[in-house]
Amino acid sequence: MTDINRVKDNNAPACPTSGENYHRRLKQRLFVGLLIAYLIPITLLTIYFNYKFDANVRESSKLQLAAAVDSQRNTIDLFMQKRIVNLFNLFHLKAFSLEPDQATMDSYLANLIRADNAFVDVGLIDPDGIQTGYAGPYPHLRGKDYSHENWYQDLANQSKSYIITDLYLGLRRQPHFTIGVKQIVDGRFYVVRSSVYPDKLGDLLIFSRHGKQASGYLVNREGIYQAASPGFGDLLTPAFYRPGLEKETDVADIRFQEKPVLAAHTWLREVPWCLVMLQPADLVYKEMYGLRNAMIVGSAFLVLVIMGIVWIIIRKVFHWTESLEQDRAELKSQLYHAHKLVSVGQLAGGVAHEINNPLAIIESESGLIRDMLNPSLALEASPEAIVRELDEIDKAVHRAKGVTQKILSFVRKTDPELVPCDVNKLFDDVVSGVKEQEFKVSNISLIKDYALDLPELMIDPGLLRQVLLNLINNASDAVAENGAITLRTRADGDFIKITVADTGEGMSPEKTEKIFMPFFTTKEVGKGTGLGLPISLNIVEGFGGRIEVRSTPGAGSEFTVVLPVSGKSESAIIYTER
Amino acid sequence: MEKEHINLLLVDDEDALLESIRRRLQLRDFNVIAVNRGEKALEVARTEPIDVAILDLKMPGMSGKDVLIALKRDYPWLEVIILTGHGSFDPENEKEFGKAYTYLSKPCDLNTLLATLVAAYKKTVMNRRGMTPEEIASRLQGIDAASPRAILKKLKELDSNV
Repeated sequence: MTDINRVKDNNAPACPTSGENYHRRLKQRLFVGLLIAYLIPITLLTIYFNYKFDANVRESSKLQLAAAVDSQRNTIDLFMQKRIVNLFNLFHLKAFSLEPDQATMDSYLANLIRADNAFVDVGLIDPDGIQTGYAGPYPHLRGKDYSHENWYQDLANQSKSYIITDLYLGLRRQPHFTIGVKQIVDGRFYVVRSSVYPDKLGDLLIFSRHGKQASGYLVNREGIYQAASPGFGDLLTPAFYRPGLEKETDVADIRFQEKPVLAAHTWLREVPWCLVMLQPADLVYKEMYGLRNAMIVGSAFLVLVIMGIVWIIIRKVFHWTESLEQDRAELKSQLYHAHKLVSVGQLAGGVAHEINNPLAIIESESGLIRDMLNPSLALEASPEAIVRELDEIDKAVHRAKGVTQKILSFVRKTDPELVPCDVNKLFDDVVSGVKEQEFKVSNISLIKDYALDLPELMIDPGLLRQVLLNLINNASDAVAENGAITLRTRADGDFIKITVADTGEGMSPEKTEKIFMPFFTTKEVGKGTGLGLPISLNIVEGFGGRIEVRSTPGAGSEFTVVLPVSGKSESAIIYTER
Repeated sequence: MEKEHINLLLVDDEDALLESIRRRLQLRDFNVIAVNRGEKALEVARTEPIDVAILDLKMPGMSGKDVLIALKRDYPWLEVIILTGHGSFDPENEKEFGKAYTYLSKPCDLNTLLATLVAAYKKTVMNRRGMTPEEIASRLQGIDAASPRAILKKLKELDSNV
């Protein structure tokens, strides 16, 4: 048993107008689909590379800043070392004396200032901690006892022979720090001390590298400003950012004055101070942002170009398929018209028989009347006898008239006219008259198995009639004499099933596969056109339905037209005349 | 059993036609045996010495084609005229119909039918009596060619006395 369903996808173009919509929708979907297929990977790739690139640039920017800060630290350390050396050098002057007079002290100061004008004053402290010599702006410091000062005690107790204090205001109420160096002379412990203003250090806290400026400050362990470039706040106040003690050198992302900045720090070697340098993030990442923007613009441009190319290609392909579709529709319509001509021919042949018989009767009866009126033949020519024959003529005329009316009901206008149809009645119409006569002649029994509760179909009765007639013709060609043809109607949900079953020879699965192909026929040469079923399928699909075939070789075939109760009205347009 | 007249077997399922043709041919000296079924025709052929037959093709039960085949099998000399109303019937495509004498389409006027009957019966006589066309032509010499009745009478004579 073969079972073939010709199921038509409802989205498929059933007529030119819905075909256009279908194509437009398909085109849009294809375009969007291709774009998504392309955009998702490229977006993911872009995001991934951007992220990697970003991380790399950040890392290298930090390293760059750290290296810059490191070298700046060296510069500051070197500055400190030079100042210490300047002080040590005093011990080695020819004019050095452990009990200098004021002029000698002044010359010491001049010597120091010549080396660096950061020096403010100079003092010599004897082993008892008394500043025995002083030169500078605060002469009252001569004779001051330093033995209780922390830095003095530290210097005395440590092995390192110099010390640099944190910044402090001191007696003079001006931030400065003190450098002290010790020297053992003849077993006795002498110290030379000098105050240094931090302004000089401030100059070292701004630098510019590769066009990127960085500025910063120095803080002690407590996070108090020791020196700062302008804009960071007053000296000796707590710094807004205090780097941790645990790492000697590090770079951190922080915010300064509401802006993201990169803060690099490193601890000085000569002083327990920390150098902190800040660089605005937008400055650091300027190149990176530039590159990233270029990448985004480039990608967007690429996407646009590809969108354009995809669109053009899709348009080309669709243009091509649309013209193919058009050709196909044209062929379909030609096929339909060809079939119409052929079926008119078949109809004429069948109809001729039905008309020729009454004509033959008329001819013969009129001849008989002539014979009656011929005296030489000596027939009974009473009016009654003649009327009897005329009655036969009338009967024949009526018969012929009935036939021509049937023909007219077949040859109808081609515009599909959707009217509510009772399928049972349509079936009856198709088989009544000519067909019933044929079946009677061939001893084919016709079984009507109708469902009485059928809903009405909105359909063109002429077209459906043609389909049913095709199926019934096929059935009557397939059954031998004494066979049976069953006409069955059933309501099945939203569908009506119309079945024509025969007890004919049936078909093999191979044949069943081919029967909807145009010009395929199982009938004898000259009898079948091979167009009936393709046209029928065409019509049924036009109404949104399908044709199901079940056939068993030797036992018969069953064709079922399945039509939706809510007919697809627009679809039938294809069958109109062009 | 008619000895004088030609025994004509007329088969057609149209009763009105059957009756009127029967009456008209009867008037013209035929002995018409009219039946409306192929089966009855074969029955008649078994009991009556049929000289010529007119067959309709489309009939309920046995078709004209089957009757033709059966008649020609049992009585090969019998000439059969097919009289059909089917417009699209094309004898060229139907091998079996080569056995018929000729085809006439309905409606067919009586003179044509008579002329065809004369020719077919002539053929039957030739078949049955083993005559050549020349022989039968010489036998029919002097008979009014325009009078089918005269020719048929002569033919019947030829058929009867051998």
